Order: sequence, then structure tokens, then C-alpha cells
Amino acid sequence: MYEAVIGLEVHCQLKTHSKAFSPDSTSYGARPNSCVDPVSLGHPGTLPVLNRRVIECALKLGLATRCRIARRSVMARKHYFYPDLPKGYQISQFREPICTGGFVDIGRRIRLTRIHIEEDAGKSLHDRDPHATLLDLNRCGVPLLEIVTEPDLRTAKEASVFLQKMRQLVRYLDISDGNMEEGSLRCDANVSVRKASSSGLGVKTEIKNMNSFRHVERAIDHEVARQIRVLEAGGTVTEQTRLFDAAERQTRQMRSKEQAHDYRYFPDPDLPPVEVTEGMRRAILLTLPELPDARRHRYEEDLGLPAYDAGVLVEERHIAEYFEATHAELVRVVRDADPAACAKVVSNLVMGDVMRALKENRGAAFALAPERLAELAHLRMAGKLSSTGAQELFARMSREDGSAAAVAARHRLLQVGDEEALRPVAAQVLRDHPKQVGQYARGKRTVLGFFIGQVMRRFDGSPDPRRVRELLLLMLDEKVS
Amino acid sequence: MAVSIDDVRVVARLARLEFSEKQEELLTNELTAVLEYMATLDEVDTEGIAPMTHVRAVAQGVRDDHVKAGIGTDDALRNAPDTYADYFRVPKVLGG
Amino acid sequence: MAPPTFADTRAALARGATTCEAVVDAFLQRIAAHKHLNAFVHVDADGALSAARQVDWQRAAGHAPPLAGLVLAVKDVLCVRDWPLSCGSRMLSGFRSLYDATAVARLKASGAILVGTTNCDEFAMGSSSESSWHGPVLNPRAEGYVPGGSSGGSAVAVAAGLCHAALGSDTGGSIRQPAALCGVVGLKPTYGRVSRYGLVAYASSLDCVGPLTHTVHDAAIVLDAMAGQDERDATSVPTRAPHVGQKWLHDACGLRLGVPEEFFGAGLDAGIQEAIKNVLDRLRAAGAHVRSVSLPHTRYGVAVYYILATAEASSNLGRFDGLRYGYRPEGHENMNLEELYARARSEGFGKEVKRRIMLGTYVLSAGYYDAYYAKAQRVRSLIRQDFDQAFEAVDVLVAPVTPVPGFRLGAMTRDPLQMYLSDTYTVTANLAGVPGLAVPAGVHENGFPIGIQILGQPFDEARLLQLGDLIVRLLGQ
Repeated sequence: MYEAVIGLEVHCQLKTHSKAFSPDSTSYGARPNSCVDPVSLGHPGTLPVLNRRVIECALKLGLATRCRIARRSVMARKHYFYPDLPKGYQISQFREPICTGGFVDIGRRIRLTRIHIEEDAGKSLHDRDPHATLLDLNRCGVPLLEIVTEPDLRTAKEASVFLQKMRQLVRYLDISDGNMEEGSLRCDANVSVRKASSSGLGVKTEIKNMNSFRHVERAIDHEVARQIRVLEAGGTVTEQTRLFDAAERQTRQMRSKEQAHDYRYFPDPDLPPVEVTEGMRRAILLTLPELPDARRHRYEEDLGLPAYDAGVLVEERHIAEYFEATHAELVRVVRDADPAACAKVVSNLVMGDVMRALKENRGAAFALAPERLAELAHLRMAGKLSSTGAQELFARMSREDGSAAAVAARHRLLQVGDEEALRPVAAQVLRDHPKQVGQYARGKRTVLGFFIGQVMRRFDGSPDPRRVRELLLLMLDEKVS
Repeated sequence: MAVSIDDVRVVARLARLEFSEKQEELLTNELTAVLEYMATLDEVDTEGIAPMTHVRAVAQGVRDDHVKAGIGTDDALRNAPDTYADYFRVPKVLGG
Repeated sequence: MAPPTFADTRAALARGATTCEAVVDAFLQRIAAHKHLNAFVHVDADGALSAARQVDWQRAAGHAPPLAGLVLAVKDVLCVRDWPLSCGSRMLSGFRSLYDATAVARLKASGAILVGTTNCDEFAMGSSSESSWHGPVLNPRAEGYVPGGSSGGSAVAVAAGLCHAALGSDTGGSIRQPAALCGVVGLKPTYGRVSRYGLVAYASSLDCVGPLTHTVHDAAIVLDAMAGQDERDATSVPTRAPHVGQKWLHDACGLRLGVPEEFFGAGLDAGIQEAIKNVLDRLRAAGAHVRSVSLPHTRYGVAVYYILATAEASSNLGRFDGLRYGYRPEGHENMNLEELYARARSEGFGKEVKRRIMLGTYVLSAGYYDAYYAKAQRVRSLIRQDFDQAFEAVDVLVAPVTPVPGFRLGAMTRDPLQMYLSDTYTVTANLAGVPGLAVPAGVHENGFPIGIQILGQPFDEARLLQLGDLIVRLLGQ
């Protein structure tokens, strides 16, 4: 039996307004070669100046993953020739990265070797012109964090889970949109296999070009299978870089170790070392949001939410925050509120109507402010709304102004729950249908449904059917006995 | 430190430079002479001396995340020897 | 008639005896008459005249800019918006800069009138101004001899009276050495004093932009106008310009001068040694305390310099590949990418540049980094410590600029190591990041100018300029 040993190098594009080392815009999808300035074009005489926000992003991720933060880290030049790398080197970090150590928990701890700052290259288009490659340098200089793991992952599935965890984290920290399809989250994998009993490391290959979670899983699975086939056939795996071909669903060789680059790293003399003071560290620590794992734990333990609800609610930070704001408001307005009961009502609304609405108008804001959703939840808790009524009220409120109670009244969505309102109507119904009352008296209990329907109809469908049923039972028993 | 002609070829390849065989031989001798001279640094005891990577190691000189308008596509391509539409055009990149 | 200094022009303008336009016109005529010196690679006569008229209007309107009337040339390694930029190289054929270097922009904003760009060693790599794609620069003061380099065109433009002042760059002596060989004033400011933004990088941790002028006063004026922190250069320092203004010295009372013994060893020309001794005697007579000091690691300066400078150069010059701008070789339509890279770079760069790229690539390549690059950085620390220690005992250091008063055209191009060794007296200031001022200190018996170099503590340019000015006056030049 073989086991796979996998390490990942994740590149995460940071959400900054301007580039890592120059003030031109990072906007996505602009006219080719329009979001550039002489610095990102690598024109002679230009110099890089580091964007403060990039340091802050690195600190956020480093602190969130419990890394050691270097008080002094060094920007370095990594040299290679490629048309979309205008300076002939990429500014990166090498010997002294800003974050080291740390881990991400995917059920067990996956250790991080390092997190460092670097700049992106431009984009090469190979298929637009049969005889040439076309360059769009808009992406040159967009800031990236590279996250390198220890070879702690054992399966393709784990690699994919790690990556999803990473995506969730960078989105929580609001440092990246974590979109793999658009390339703001990219991943290379170092893969080797070994006999399950052994503790040494086999020869590894590097897989590049995986641009979805599914591709990561597939590519690694294929590469692991390929290496096992090679070993089983008595061969040896050679160190090389392989490209994942999504269409062919396989990896193919890109370059061998002999062709490997000699990057000639050295500290960039244009950029002073990055200093992180204790004050900066503490300030960033204060801005960190509660992270998904801690939040989920709290929802389950303190609010008594089912694990499923907690998982869904914490998935995205803005949803978790919306849930919490609504819940807090509900607890505030309900007399002697039971936080757990409130949590479940709000959870149901958020996982249902709220998330459905978000999905329908992609990217749009929440349909209701948390205060208004809390009003709706309050009515629901008080039994004044049926589940279908709640759904309709949500839809109405997202289009109309007014408090939940006002909108519900306007559209007669409130359940009539009190006996004073129901009793005269129910009495009238019984008076109007002596024949059916007689049937009931003779033991035909099914006519109860008929009476409930009659009462409901006279109220335009809004009373709580349970209440109507209870009341009718009471009144019939009085009559019959 | 004797530099071999193969070293010269490897370095030339790294630097994307090409030389005639005669130039390679000349460079081999020149680099050997210069590197031998540089080996005088071996005399210096640098135990415990930190490398001077920057003239001043102050943490000044970071910028705020403000956008300044770029130069636009026309200016970006103004010095380009070959373009196609809004792109720089370069020989086909093979492999990677 | 001797060409005017900026102070002369300023006075004439104030008297109403001339206009900026007339001043520029006179310089343009001199430039045309001295074409054979090959000092300029680009002259923008129309631009200069229209800029001059603009300044004249501003003066007439009572809004004269501070440097009204200053006619300036710029070494062809500094970016001037819309002007050709070649760095003395075929590699940048056809290239026009999209922006002004910060030093250039500040001088323009102060009213300086730019006439053109000056010739230099290719990518500022050299000590003779012979390696330019545009051909060698000639020394107007010493026929058949080089003007020094790499800012040779700037030194010659000033020496021959083709402009008031010229900007140069100094990575290992490239302002001070040609200033000395051409008999003009040259200032290498403290590293970080003047923004490097828009200076085409040779060796980023050593490069400095500075002025070459006739007088120390003019050098001070130009420095003040361009000094100061720049948000586009992270290594520029938030220190205010020296503003020597009118604070010139009457004597040298209280000044503590150090004479570094390592700068006066074997190989130093007797005439130069004599000239410096003469200067020191006069300074002593003017009240200075002169004492010998030691900078023990000076002898390693050239080795450290050529490791670090070539390593940084090999990196800085990686961007020149003929793809997005610059030189494309003939037949490029049929070349694949790798052929184009190699051909463009091999044909675009000259011999010395390629030699330095090779050396720099070698010392950075896998397996050699620690032996060469890291080692050189450690020795660089020691060289700086030497200066720090010396400056505990003295205010400034006085030393020769070059070991010999000049060398013939073609004399050094065949033996690179010999050429590198001639930089012994200048490279350590760049390695330590301290300022250095070269001023004329008499004439050699062979008739060539001799320069003397004053080195100071970081950001102590004011004292260097004051002392330089005093030396010039004591020598009655």
C-alpha cells in the first residue's frame, strides 16, 4: 500500500486598490495594458515602493493562522526571463519571509512553512495569434501572498478541503475574494508517494495550473496514481514540474529538474526591510474578526444551534455577522428572551428566506436590515405568523417600507391567535352547521377538519390552525357533553 | 577560483547572452582573473559581521493604498516594437 | 570669453543685462561649436528656447522661479519626459521616456532649463566614457586623454562651457572622477539624499544622482533644488536639503581634517600627492587640525564594489530584452523567443556591460552566493564601520580622487581588472553611503587638472561644500 505526501503552495491575490509596489489600479477586467504605469511596466529608472496595506494583509493572515511574525523581513528579487515579467525579476521574499510556522485546522493541523509577500506577473495570451504571444500587463504588480504548507496532506480530498478552508479564511479576513476561477486563489501541489509503512519522503513532482477545487482533487489523484504506476512497474519517479490539463484530465511534463531555474535571489536594494512593530502587530490583532471555527463552536455551545445550522451560518463572514446582528436585536426586543430559542428562529429565517434571496439576486445586499428581520422573527416567535406567512411577509418587506407588523397588517398576514377574536366566529360556524355538529356528536370526528376550514375561511386564512383546532375541540366537547 | 568554459556557458544561458567560442575563451580568462582578485576578501575575518544589504535599514518608505491613474494603453504601448490591438506582441512562448 | 557660471548669469539677469533666451542661445551655439567633443547625445534646442522664453515671461511678471536662468544638461541615464533615453546603449534604440526623473522634475519646477542629454559609458559602467554606443567623449582639457567616466559627457559639457551645470550619476566614482579629470566640481551626495526615481539603475544600493558645475556654489544650488525625500523612492531619506545659502567659511578654524593613510600608498601619482599636500598646508595655515586616520578595509573596496555592483547590475539589466521596448535585432520576425532574447541582449549590450552581467550573474548563481555576494556584503559593513570610526575623530576626510592624472583613450579597455583598480579611491564612499565632493586642486606638471576629494559624514554635504569652496578660494582658482 502506498500513501501520498502532499504539500501546497497557494497564491492568494490581495484585495487592494493599488498595486503592491506602484499606485496604478488593480481593477479586474479593464482594457488590456490600461491599468499600468511606468513602474509596473518595468520601465528604466522606475522603483518599487511597498503598499502598506499589503503588509497589513500579510499580518492578518499570519496572525489568523498563528504564525510567527518576523519583526524584520526582507523583500528579495527572484530572477527569470519570461515575457510577462517586465523587470526580469519578480519581487518576492526568500530567506526572511514575513510569517513562518502557523497552521490551518482541517480536522487536524496542517502546518504552514511560511507566508510571504510577492507581486503577480502579467498575462500571456497564447491562443489569440497563431504566430505570437500577446501580453496584457494589467496584472503586473498586483499583490499576492504565497502560503506554503509542510508536506502534511495525505489525500487529494484533504488538499481540496485545505484550500477551501484557506479560501474561507482569506474571505473572512477580507484580504482576498478567494475566487479560484478568476485566479485570485491559485494552487500548486508538491506530490510524492511512499510505502504506507515508511516515514521517508519519495521523489516529488510539482503540479501547476489547477484552477478549481475539483481540478486540484483530480490533478492530485491522477498524479498519485501515475507515480504509483511508475513505482509498481519498477521505475523511479523523477523530479519535475507537471502541468494539469483540465480538458485531458491528466498531468503532463513541463520541465525536468535539469531545466529548473536558478533564480539568483538576493535582497532587493530598492526596498528597505519590512519592519513590524509590536504596536502594528497588536493593532492588526484587534481588527481580526472572530474566525469561522471559533464562531461555529460558539453557535453550537452557547446558542445551542445544530451543527448543520452553525456550519452553514459561519461559512461566509457577512452572513454570520448578519445572523448575529439579527439575533442580538431579537434578544433585545423579546421579553425574557431565551437566546437559544431566538437563535433557532433567526437561523431558520437566515438559512431559508435570507440566503435564498441572496442567491437570487447575486451579489446584492441583504434584502432586510437586521432590525427588520428581527421584527419579523419576533412576530413568528409570538405565533402571529405561519411559516408561509413569514415567507410572504419577508418578500413584501423587501419591497415595501414599514415595520413588520404594519406590512403584515396591510396584507392581512397576521395569524389571529387570541380566543376573543376566534370564539364568536367559531360559535357562529357551529350554529350554522347543526347537521355536522350532530355527526360529530355521533362520533364522526373527521368533521372537525370541516369546521376548521370554515373558521379559517371567515378569517381569510390567517389564524393559527392549531389554535382554531384547540378552540373548536373545546367548544364541541362543551356542546356535545 | 578558476572559471571553466562550461561555467561561462551556463552563466551566459542564465543571462540570456550568446558568445562566440573565442569570446567564451576570453571571458573565461577575464572572469578567472577578476574572481581571483575578489578572492582577496577571503583574508577578511567576517565572523559575526552582519551583511550590509541596505545602506539604511529604516522602515520608512511604504506608501498608502491610494490609486493614481495609470498612463493608459496608448502610452503603455508607445515604445513597443511590436503590438497587436491593445497588446504587446512577442514571439510565441513554447512550453513554459 | 569664458562661459558664465550660474552666479554670473543670475547677476546679469538681475541687472537686466541679458535674458534667459539669450543665455540659452549662447549655450546652444557653444554646443554646436563643440560637437567634436561628443559630450551631448541629444540637444533639444527648440524645447530649451521655449522654456527660456517661458522663464523670461515669469520674470517679467514678477514670478521668477528660484533657478531662473540655470541651463542644465542631464546625463543620458536620467529620464526626461518625451526625450530619447539611451544610457549610451544600442539596447534602448528608439526609446522615449514616459516620465521625468524626480531630480529632473524638481529642477524643472524650480525653473531650470534643460538643453539636452550627455554622453556616458554604457549604462554608467566605466571610468572613461569610451564604452558608449554613441562613441567616446573627448576631454577638452587634455587632448588624446579620456575625460573620465562614466559621467564624462556631463563633466565635459561643464568644462567646455556648454551649460551651467550637468547632472551625473555616481555609483563608484562616476561623478567625482570625471569632474577631477576635467577640472570641474562634482558632488556625490549621501545615498538617499536625492531620489533615484528616474535614474536608470546600474547598482541600486550604490547609485547617487549629483551635480557637476563650475563652482561649489552652483553645486550647492542644484543640490538644494533636487534633494529631499520622494514618495517614489523608498530609499530616499526625509532629511531637509543642506541649504548652505550664504554660510561660506572665512577660515578653517576648528575643522578637524582626516587624511586616510590608505589613500596615499603605492600607485599614487607624485604630482597628485604634491597637490594634496599643498591643499592641506593651506588649510592648516587657515586653522584646520589635520591628522592621519586609517580606513583599514579600503584595499578591499574594489573587490567588494565589483561583486555587489555587477550582481545588482545583472539583475537591473534583466528588463532589457527587446520585447516590450528597445532594440530588436534584424530578422527578429523569424526568431523564437529564446533566440530573440539572446540576440537582442547580445547585440544590444556592449562588451563591458556584458562582461559585468556575466560576472554579476556568476556571483549570484546557485552555490556562489555566500562565497561572493554575502561575503562582500559583510566586508561592506566593515568598510562602513571604518568610516564611522574615522568620523568619531575628524569632521571630514581629504583624499585624492584618482591615482593618476588621466589615461589615454583606449589605454584601459583591454584590461578590465586594471580599469577596475583605478576606482580604488572612489568606490568606498559609495559602499559606505557617505557624500563626496571633488573640487579642482591645481594643475599637474603635464598640464592636466587635478582633483581633490572631500568625504563627509552622511548628510553633511553642507560642510563638504563649505570646505570645497574654501579650498578653491585658498588656491586662488
